[in-house]
Amino acid sequence: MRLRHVFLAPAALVTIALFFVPLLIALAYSFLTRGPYGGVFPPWTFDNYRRALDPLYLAILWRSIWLASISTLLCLILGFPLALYIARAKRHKILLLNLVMLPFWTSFLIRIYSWMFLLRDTGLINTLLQALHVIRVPLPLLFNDGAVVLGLVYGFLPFMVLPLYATLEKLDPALLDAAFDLGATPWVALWQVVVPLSRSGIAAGCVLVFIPCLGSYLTPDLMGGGKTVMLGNLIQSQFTAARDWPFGAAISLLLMLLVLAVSRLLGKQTEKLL
Amino acid sequence: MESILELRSLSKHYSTHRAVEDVSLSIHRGEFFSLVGPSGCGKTTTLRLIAGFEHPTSGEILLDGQPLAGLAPHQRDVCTVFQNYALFPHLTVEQNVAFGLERRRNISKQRIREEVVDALALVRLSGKESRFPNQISGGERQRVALARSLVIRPKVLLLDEPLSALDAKLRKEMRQELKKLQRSVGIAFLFITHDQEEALSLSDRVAVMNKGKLEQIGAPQELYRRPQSRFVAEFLGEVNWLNGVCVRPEAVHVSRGLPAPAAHSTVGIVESMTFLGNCLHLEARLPDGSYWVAELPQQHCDFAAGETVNLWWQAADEFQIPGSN
Repeated sequence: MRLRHVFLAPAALVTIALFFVPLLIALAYSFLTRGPYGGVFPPWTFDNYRRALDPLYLAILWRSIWLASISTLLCLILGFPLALYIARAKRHKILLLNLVMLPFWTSFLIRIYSWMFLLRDTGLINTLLQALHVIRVPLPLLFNDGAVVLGLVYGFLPFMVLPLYATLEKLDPALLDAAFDLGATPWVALWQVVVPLSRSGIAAGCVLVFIPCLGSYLTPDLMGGGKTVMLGNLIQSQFTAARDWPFGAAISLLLMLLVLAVSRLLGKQTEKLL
Repeated sequence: MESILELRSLSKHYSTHRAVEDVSLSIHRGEFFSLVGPSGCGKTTTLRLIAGFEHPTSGEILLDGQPLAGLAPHQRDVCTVFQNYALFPHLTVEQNVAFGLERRRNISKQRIREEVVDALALVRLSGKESRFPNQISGGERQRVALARSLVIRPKVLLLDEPLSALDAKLRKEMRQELKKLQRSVGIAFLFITHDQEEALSLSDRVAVMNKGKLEQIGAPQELYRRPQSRFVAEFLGEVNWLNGVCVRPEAVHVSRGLPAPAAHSTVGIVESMTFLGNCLHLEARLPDGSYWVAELPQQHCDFAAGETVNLWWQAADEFQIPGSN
């Protein structure tokens, strides 16, 4: 055994034991039949996958894709100018990057609860607006799709900013000078030069935001108030309340396939441009 | 001569240093004008001020009689060829050249195509239209950059050390090509370089810059033969000094016998001989302890170190620098 194998072994063992083996178990479960109090039993069946195509579940799938797409788009719109600003900043780049990552110093759960305290009917925003007599009835800020998207964008924005920053930082400033010099307005230079040359960063950022959004569980559960069900919540409920492990396993694997397909698609897009 | 570009007392100060200090010069229509100086002398800053990438601390820039103050780079009728070309890597050669034309209104696609074809023919790049910048050689990239700037017919073309990224042989070839190109398009070129040979061989007039200030402006021959400061004299070539008189190495003759009549001369002891291919450098020590260099044709290589020789030159080849006696 070579030395490098010795160093690779722990990571390989962890990956095999904690990722591939459970994945195979989930794969096996997804072809079995549910037990009355959870667990799995024979016979082998395709029923779980057939059931996943039921319009009820397709609607949840569609809703997850939709919310994840909106959140990704918003992250891109908000993150791009921020990343560009930091990349072109003459000073304090490291400080600004650290500020982007600052929220990670606190638990995600605590941050989501903070948002809930801000947004709920008796929360800071509604209380303040009522005190100022701007509104009489509290605005429905929490427990809806908007709140879920807000939570997702808030949570995953750094994952968009960092890859964008990495690409934009490498962009040769002389290219922008050249564009202006040839008569491009700043807006044209942005669309004709900066955006095309940062496509790999855009693709990477979108993958890093879209995928965790698609499978997110905590944000829709807490900020959607249980009404806004996404795939993550559906899977969780199958393993707990519904006690239907085989169906939960089947949706998990379908979600994984979907994620693989999306990352392959965007990955190809990235490769083509490099 | 009518001037196309005029700098009036142009200054650019940064918090720590004065990059450009009170520079005034005027470039004529159709002229090949070089701004030469060591790195950090402020020549690139001057160019960036003209292009509009930097704003002057004081002074004025007039393009064709119109002040440029307050105009953004994309509103100025000048164009830059950047040191590393700054070609757009995601666009083909053709799209790179078309970039400036596409920014204009009132120009048809057909017209753009024709202009691009003409510009690429001008720089001898026909047939490479659909290549990307990373698929062509350094010399070809250089020509794409030229075509991209010339196609929009700026009033002045600014060139920021455009030959410095090329290897020595290609650099000399491109020099000739650049000169021809400038003559054929008739656009005034403002050429920035730290290479005095490049500046002298290409230009109608040269301005020498040092520490942000202009030292001297003039025709290449005039600058070389009649420098007005020690800096200009030494920047443009080697100088031998004797009692306030200067002589260029190639004007110095060396002989064992008496010098030619009416020539000025001194004696020296041969220190070393250096073979440089097309010529020899003979270094000699004078009685006052200073060193002289003579550039000799190859066949004159029979001097030995330690030998006493006569160094002489024609009176017309010597010059004095004002105020350096």
